Formats: sequence, structure tokens, C-alpha cells
Amino acid sequence: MSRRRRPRPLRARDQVFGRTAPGNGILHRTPAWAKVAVLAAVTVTVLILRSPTVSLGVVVAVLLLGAAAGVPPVKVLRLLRRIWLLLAAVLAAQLLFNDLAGAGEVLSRIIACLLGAQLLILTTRPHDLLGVFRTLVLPLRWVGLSPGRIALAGLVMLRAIPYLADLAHLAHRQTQARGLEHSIRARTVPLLTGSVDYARDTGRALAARGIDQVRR
Amino acid sequence: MTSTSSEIRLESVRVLAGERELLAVPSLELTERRISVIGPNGGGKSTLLQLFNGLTEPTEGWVTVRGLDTIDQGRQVRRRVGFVFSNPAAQLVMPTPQEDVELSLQRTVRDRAERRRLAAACLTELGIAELADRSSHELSGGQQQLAALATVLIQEPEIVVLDEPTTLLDLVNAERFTGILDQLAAQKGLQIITATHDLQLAARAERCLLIDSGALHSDGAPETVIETYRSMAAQRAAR
Repeated sequence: MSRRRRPRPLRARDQVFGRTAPGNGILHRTPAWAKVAVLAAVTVTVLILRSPTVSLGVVVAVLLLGAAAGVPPVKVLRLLRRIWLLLAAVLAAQLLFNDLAGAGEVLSRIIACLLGAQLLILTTRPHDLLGVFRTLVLPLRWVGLSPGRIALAGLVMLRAIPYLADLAHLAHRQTQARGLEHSIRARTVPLLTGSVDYARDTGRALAARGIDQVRR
Repeated sequence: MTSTSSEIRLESVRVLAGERELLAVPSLELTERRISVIGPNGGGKSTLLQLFNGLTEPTEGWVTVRGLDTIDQGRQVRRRVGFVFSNPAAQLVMPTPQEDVELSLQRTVRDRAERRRLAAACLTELGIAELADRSSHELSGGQQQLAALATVLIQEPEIVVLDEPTTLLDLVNAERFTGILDQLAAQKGLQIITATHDLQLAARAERCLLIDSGALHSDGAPETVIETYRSMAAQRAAR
């Protein structure tokens, strides 16, 4: 009997937010606002200096810091696998319009900033991040926007990402079942109607509970 | 002429979407503790349920809950009427059930530690204390629905309206959900109104409403109304 192709492995669920690396290391215990402040400072430095050495230094520092806090480097680096296509596109564009040194410089900057952010997400509860976000948008009160309402919108958005990822996956499965893999319409229409349904249901549920903002 | 003794009262109600009439109920008074609503898809069950807490407002006529008008006093009405939807995933917005239940309390309980304590107690009461800090997204549908019920019950409603709460649940989870709900309803003296396609569940009510084509088709004891629904369905399927 001829050797059969290996069966496709079942894909694990994509999780962008909402999953923290379990642990109680130094980073887990640092307050969220302090981590956000450090991340912001590091990001600005990396973006201003435009030095591949600094960027690579940041990458190494992020991995070491993560390891010290009990987050294995694999978990931090996993992000790159998820966005490799995006990075490849940046690389291609840079090689096309720039040179190799330029490409390395831009790519190292992007990767340094993203890995720093990934470490923050892995070691901070989403709710705490939301609290920092809510504080950051406080000044918007003066132009008539409610920070609590913006925070609620942020929350619903975070919550929607894994749901929509599941929905996209399901839509893909459904097209496969009907042999319509190549139909963009068959893949997107269920996703769109599903998103609208989800948005409407979420809105109704929040209205029924009388929730229109996140308070402190 | 609104009497406060009646829980929910509808008078000359019509709900229109543009020109189209979604629901018309000339008169209805709901006082029983357990009421079920059955009927075909698209017949107006959800519209009727959403009238009870002001999520849908009557285009014509009046809907009052214990004398409170759902348009003028929508907020007070919603505080008294809890609502559980069929899609459990869309009702949870916080990362964990514990935080979601706390979110329901943010308006009424100022102290954070107190909110935490009350939320934990509520989850324990529903038998899902062990799920408190799990990721809501990773819970099973049955667990999510119980968490959604917790976010509603913590607000101490007097009436709980459920729109096909068990449609997306398997048999075990559906039984568990209704069992817990029955028990709590009896304990707290809640009025429970459930729309469902599960006729066994519908039969457990004191009164049953059959909604079809935007109208109240029959109303009465569950055995009679369910029998009417069965013969209606048989007739239509044969057509």
C-alpha cells in the first residue's frame, strides 16, 4: 500500500490576548502601569535610535527578563510564527526599495518592539491592562468622551478577537465541506453575518444588564 | 388603570419594523411564577420577551412591569427583569466569569472587595465556583451559560426572562441549567419566563403561551397549548 500523506494536525486555537503565562515571577508581580511605562520608554528608544545593535540587545533583554520571570523564550517567540507573513512582507518591501542593512535595521526594530509587547501581554492580566488603558484615556473626558465607555469598547474588542477567529475558522471549514475553498464570498459572508450577530447579541446582553461603561 | 399586583401587563401592543408588523398583542397579563413561551421560528417569541425588559419598545400600546412603563422607566424595569440569551458566548465580556459577575455589580456596590466576595458567593451558589478564574472563552457552552446566568442573578432581579437558554446546550448541561434555575427560582421567589423549543421544558411551566405569526395563538395550561402546537406543526409539515 502506498504511503499516505500524514493527516493534517488540528490547529490550536489562536489566542492573541486573554492568556497569560501562568506564574508568579517578578514580572507578574510588577504593577501593570509600571510595565506599560517601561515598554513605552523602550519602544520610543528603539524607534528613535534606529540601531540594529540596540534592537537586538532589547530582544535578548526581553528573552532573558522573561526567562527570569518564568516565561520560557519559546512562548515569547511564538508571536513571530503567527505574524511571519507580515514580517516577510516588510522584509520583501525593504529589500525591494532599500538595501539589506536597511531591511535588517527596520525588521530588528519591529521585532524588538513586538516581543517587548508580547512579554507584557503574557505577564499581565487583561483586566489590569484595561485599567491602565482606562487611566490613559482619562483626558478624553475633557472633550466629552467617557473613559469608562471607551474601556468597555476596548474590552468588547479584546473579547471579540478569539470569537471572530473561531468564526473565521468555522467559515473555512464550512466552505471546505461544500468544496468552495476558493470562493472568497463563501468564506467571508458567514464571517460578516456572524460578526454582526455577535455584535448585536453582545450589545443586547450588555443593555439588559444595564452596563454602559467600565467603572473603577 | 395599571394595577401593581400584576407582574407584567401588555395593553394594545403592536411592534412594527417599518411597515411590517412583528407582533400584536391586544391584552396580556402575566402573574404566574413559571411561564413558558413556545412557537415556530420567526413567530415573534423573542420580540415578546424583549418587550418585557424594554429591549424592544412597543410601537403602539403599553408594556408595564409592576406598574413601571418599559419606555419611560426602562432602567428601573431592566433592574427588575434579568435577561438570559441563547448565545452564551456573546453575553460574557470579561476575561473570567468572576470578573464578569463583578461587572454586573459595579453600579450598585462601590467597594471592590465586597464585589469580589458577592461574586464568588454567587458562583458558588450556582455550583461553578471552580470556574471563577478560568478564561470565559475556554469554558464549554453549558459552563458559559451558567456564568451568564450568574451575571444576571447577582443583580437580584424579581423576574428572569430566558430566550432559548438551552438551545445550544447538550442534554446534560440543559438539564443541569434548568435544574439549578428551578431551585434558585423557588428559593428566591422569582418569576421565570422561558421561550424554548424544548417542549418537555415548556411543559414544566404553570402557563404556556403559543406565539405564531406575530400573534398570541393560544394561552393556557401547558398540556393543552403544547398539544395545539404539535397539531399545528404536523399540519404545516404535511403541507
